Amino acid sequence: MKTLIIVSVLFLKCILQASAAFALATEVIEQPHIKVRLISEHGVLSKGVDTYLGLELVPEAGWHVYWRNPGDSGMPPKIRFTAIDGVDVGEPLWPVPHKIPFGPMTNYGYEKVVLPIPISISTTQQSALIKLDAKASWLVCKDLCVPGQARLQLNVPLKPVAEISFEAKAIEQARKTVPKTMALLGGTAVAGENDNIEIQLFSEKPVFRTASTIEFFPVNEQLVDANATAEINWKQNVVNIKQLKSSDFFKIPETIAGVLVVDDQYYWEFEFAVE
Amino acid sequence: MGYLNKLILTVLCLSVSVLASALASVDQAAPKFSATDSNGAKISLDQFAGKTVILEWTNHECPFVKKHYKSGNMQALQKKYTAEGVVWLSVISSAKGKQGHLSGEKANSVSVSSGGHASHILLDESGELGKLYGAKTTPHMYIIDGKGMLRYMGAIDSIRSTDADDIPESTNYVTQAMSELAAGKSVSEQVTAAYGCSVKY
Repeated sequence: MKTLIIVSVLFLKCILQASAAFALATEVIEQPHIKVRLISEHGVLSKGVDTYLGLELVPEAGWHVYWRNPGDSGMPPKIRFTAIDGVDVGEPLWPVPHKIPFGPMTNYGYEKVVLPIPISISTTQQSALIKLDAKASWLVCKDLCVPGQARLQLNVPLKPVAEISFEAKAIEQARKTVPKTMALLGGTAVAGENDNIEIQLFSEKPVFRTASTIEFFPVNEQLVDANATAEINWKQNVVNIKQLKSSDFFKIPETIAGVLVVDDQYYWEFEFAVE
Repeated sequence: MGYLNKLILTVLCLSVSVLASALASVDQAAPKFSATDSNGAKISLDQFAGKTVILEWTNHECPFVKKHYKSGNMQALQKKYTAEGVVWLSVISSAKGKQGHLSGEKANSVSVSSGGHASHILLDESGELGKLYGAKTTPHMYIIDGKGMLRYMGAIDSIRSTDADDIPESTNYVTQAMSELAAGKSVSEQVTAAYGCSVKY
């Protein structure tokens, strides 16, 4: 009997240790109208690994957070990491948003999101504990807005062999909705007739050939009226976007960037310099 | 039915074109308006001919507005410019029952307790004035020169945040435009992306 208990305890300990090694996330930080965590695709990192962290933002039902271009109001979430030698943390990637109407205005945002954050390990150390220390801030809104911030500290072991964590799936899901860069032959943008902004894109490949729907999200602010419906036409590798200019439009910017959602399943990001 | 549809369409097109042509844009005559202030007085843009007018969209419960009031930033601007003879109009476009909506009396007491120096607080619960100027956020700032021309529209400053610690690091676009106008120069940044809470129309 005694042996059985010891064996059971040992077995339980093994399970606990195994799960401790594979789950990698900060505790859920609960703040007004939102839950926030920092998660890691890898439970164990190693030298030369390029992977992702994730800033997970889960607003309460009916509340939302914002995309990089928040639309008519609002503010995108931010995260800043304390620098660590041999660890390079990049800027967050932005999964495709959707439109959130509010009265006569429209925002671009998410009901919940994981922002993937690229991280690469170039340290020469074999074994260590990488102590990630970040400060995140956000604005969560319904008909009201509440700003929040939190310190997110996550310790990731560095060993000769890297291992995936339980949270990898959530980050992978999010990465699937981060737009891919569209290789362009060129693009034009003009302030056209009837207060419309007209954008024309020429993709290298005929990515619009079989498209039945295309949705456009501008990365630039002060360009198009988020509340106005875009008129989009396409053929083979060409897409024409016509949308009412924003009330704070001033001039065509030097660089135009945006996201196209094709058939609700292909996400493209484009950017071109205006000649 | 066809006739009715046509009529509806015509009416729709008419109202849109009226709106579009009336929208505020810089280096154009500022849209004329009249509104009621927190003391019940009728205020119209015309009565300030010859004076610079600053419009400030506000909602005292919005965290972005709080950033500029708790730090004293907005009140300092109001004090500085009204002392120079500028007319400062704070506008509340929150609809009845929405965040930031205030009666005239309440608006006055909020202003007194925050140490505000606005010349008038305009009550725009219909949202008519806000929509005329295309005000999207609180704060959203506009500068009209003595000739009635709109010279600036946009953000209060260059750092989009609710953190008052960012104020000293930011470029204040209102101060920048006012100094350039005073020096007889053209305004270097005439239209910026306003940041803040949505105006609660």
